[in-house]
Amino acid sequence: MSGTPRVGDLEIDQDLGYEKAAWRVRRVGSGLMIALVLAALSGLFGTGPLSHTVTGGPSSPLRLEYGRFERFTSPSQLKVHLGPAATPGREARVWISRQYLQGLKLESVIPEPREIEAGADRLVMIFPLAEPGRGTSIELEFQPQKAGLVRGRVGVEGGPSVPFRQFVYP
Amino acid sequence: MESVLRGAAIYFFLLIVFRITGKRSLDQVTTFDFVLLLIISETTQQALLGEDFSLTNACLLILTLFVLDQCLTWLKDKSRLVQKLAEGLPVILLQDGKPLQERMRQSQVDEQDILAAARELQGLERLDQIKFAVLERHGGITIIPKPEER
Repeated sequence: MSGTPRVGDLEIDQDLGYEKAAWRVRRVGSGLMIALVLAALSGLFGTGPLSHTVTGGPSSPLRLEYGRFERFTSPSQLKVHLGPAATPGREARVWISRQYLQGLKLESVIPEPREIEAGADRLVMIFPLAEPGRGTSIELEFQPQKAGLVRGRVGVEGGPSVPFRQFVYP
Repeated sequence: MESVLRGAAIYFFLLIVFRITGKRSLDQVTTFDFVLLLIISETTQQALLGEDFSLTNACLLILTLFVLDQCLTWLKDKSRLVQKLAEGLPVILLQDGKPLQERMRQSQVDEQDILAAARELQGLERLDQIKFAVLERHGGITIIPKPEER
């Protein structure tokens, strides 16, 4: 006589109670997985409508376009839109908080700044302007190097500044 | 968003390619098939990940592939058409010892394959001992022997 329980003539180690619990877990898990994929589609985990955001209205002098949710070491962008009011002279002086720059690897700035001045808590980038008073856009391409909540501030020297937050997934 | 779309694109592309190349590509894997499979996965990996090597991306891709697969399984249960499209149906290749040449040619199975399956599964010696040989959905050949004559 072996220790295996019997169902009819069949020796089988069956546990229907456990099996039913497992089915339930599987059903709930499947639902959760589908929900996660839908969330990912919507941009909760980076790239997508939920993540993409633009600060301020179309007429504001300084607008930032960035992703609320970014991913560790994944190529990301931050666009700085300067309105006519922020570009009255021959050059635009845009600053970015050092604290923010410390958490990322800056790949490129388009257009390239003519000069970068180092401040105590900020870097000032100076861009020559082809058409003063007509506004322009600057694009920063970078890779986040720190996971978690990241705070930054971008501003125009002598003008407005905009704080922003990003969450970097590992 | 991008991870899910990439995952879905690769999933459906592979599904279609594997369906078109025929049933037997997944069963009876030769060493070369195995190497080919490795190369395919290596190639796919680049397209799937892009430049995003984050943990989040990897998890999302895995989730996407599993969810798609589960959805397909669910759809296959619900609809015979989806079942046919995704997996195909079994085909009889040999009936009462007589090979059905046209079907065998189209399915890329020859008499040797059937004989091999007959030897392996049933220990049969000749084609005329076989009642039915069926190419199954999973790509293998199953054999039903003729009842033994007394």
